[in-house]
Amino acid sequence: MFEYLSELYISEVVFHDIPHRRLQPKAILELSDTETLLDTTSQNLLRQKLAEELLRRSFPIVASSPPTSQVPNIIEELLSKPDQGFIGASQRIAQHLYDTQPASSSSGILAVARCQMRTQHGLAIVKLEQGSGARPVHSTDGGQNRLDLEFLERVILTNTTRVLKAGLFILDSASTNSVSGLIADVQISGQQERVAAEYFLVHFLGCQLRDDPAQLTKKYFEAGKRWIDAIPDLHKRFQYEMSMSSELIRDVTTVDLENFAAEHLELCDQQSFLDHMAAEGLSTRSFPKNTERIKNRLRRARLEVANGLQLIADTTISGDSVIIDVTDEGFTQITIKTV
Amino acid sequence: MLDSNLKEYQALYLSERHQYLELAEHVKATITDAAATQGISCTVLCRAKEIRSLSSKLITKPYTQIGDKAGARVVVHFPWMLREAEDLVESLFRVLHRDDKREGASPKVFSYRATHFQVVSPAATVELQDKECEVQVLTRAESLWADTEHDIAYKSSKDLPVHIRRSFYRLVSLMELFDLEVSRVRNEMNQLDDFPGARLLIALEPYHRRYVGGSYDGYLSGLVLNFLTEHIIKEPVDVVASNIDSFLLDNQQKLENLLARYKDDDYANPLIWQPELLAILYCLDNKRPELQQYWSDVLPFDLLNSLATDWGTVVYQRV
Repeated sequence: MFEYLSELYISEVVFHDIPHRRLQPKAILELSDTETLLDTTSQNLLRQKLAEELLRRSFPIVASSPPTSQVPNIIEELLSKPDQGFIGASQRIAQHLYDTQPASSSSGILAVARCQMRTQHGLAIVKLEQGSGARPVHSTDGGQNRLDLEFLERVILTNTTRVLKAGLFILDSASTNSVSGLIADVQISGQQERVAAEYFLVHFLGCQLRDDPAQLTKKYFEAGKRWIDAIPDLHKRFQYEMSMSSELIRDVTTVDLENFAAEHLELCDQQSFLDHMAAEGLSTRSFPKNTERIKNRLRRARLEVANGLQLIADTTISGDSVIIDVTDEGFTQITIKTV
Repeated sequence: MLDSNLKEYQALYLSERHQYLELAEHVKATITDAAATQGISCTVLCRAKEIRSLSSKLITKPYTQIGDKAGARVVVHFPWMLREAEDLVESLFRVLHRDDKREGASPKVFSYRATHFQVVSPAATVELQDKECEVQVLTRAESLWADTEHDIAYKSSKDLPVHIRRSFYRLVSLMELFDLEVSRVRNEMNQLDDFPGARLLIALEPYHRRYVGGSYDGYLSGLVLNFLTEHIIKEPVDVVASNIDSFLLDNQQKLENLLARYKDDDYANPLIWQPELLAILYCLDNKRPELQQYWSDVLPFDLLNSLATDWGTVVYQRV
């Protein structure tokens, strides 16, 4: 789906106000009864916010089996029957989000949008930050309730408005029209027990990660190691190995290939690394991290130096503590800096 | 004899004038669309002859021989596009007569310079297909002279005092010199190895006219293209131009979709309408690490980031 995101087009959108459950525990949702017609600028900004979030942070997902939410069914109906009542379906989705989100979840604006990517129909579900200090304003048009357009434009036009959660769904024709898609949610972690508790993915969307994070993390580590091992420069090889291991140990919930390349690899090596990883089948830009299957291998960086000698280093030390050089006489010189 | 039929022809023209106007507008639209597709930078003007102008011409010319009842003027923005514009007119219409006033001009005389085509349009509606339109193709300088001459001269200028005639010649020669200098400067710029940014801009202009059109900010182009050729694009300009040509061929639909999205968006990223857009998109696909590494040295990161998102990719800001 990633390749189609540049051609994402939003054809219809409904916005619903989702209040904070703890602050408004008995709230009766004022759901919109009509879609919102955005001007070109707002439409472009909304599309861009959604596309950037999905390009930057999303993972492939599929509908859970057995179902854990009514949302996949609603999506399937909307996508397979274009004349299906869009507003009513979006209201059911909004109500379900309010019912399933934890009391501590922040309030926000839920956008449910029919989309098109080339010839593929899609449905986007996006929770937007409503903006600091901005209180949703409702207006009535011909007896129909909806979020005020000026309020929405302020929310959408503000560059700092964050996308809190975003999902984009299509019908996977290869597997009997089941719902699949992408989700961007910074709260998703690769740890099984945390995934299972994730309200947005599991309880609201009724979906699960398509790929096993532990398997993907292992594949990434091994493919990356093969690329690093082919580097002739010993010092660079050691630095990269340390960086890869320490990134995987670090307390972040995702692995991001391109960000790793940009942050840790020399400019001349970045494209080669990304090409190698793609050739190894790691086409997903980022994925939830789970180091369960490689944790023992992450503690030590091991480098074959020469003549069967190996350099083994604790990956928690700074990579700058070891300098590996080749002297004019062709000897490998290792300098270890200690405090 | 002509005088006796004047009112009859005035009445005839009045009854037909709306058709000539329709024909002139059809010719203008046809040329404008085709020029945009082919990347020819020009302004097309059109008109149906005013009744007063026709009446005065009828004194010296028969009605049927007045060929400019419908008229269009194609003013090319650069002299080197004259030939392409002339070829375009010949490909779009059936040419009854072609008169290149530059070719026949005596080297001793400075005079009006343009190419006139007498055309009919098979693509026009049935009632217009047998009606003729005069299409003039000329440079901006030639167009300026044509208008000026119209305002200050009259046909028997040979009777004017010598010092006034010399002034006319000086003005005409100025127009010719202007066009020659513009072409010369452009050619010289294209030879400058030390200014690859300027050369890349020249290479991108036809694509910009074809896909984007309209005017652009030359200063911004210089800034971005100098940055790209200094830090990102290391290949010779002609190699890059050829690569960009293939890149645009492969991504034509994607580019057209991107431009269509922002056509009516006043808040669009200003780089969308610039020639360097094409080089940036090429770099996003082929030199992204270098682009994201150095971009913020010259321009705000957000500008690159929004283009990257629209192009379906991601860039990371250097910390």
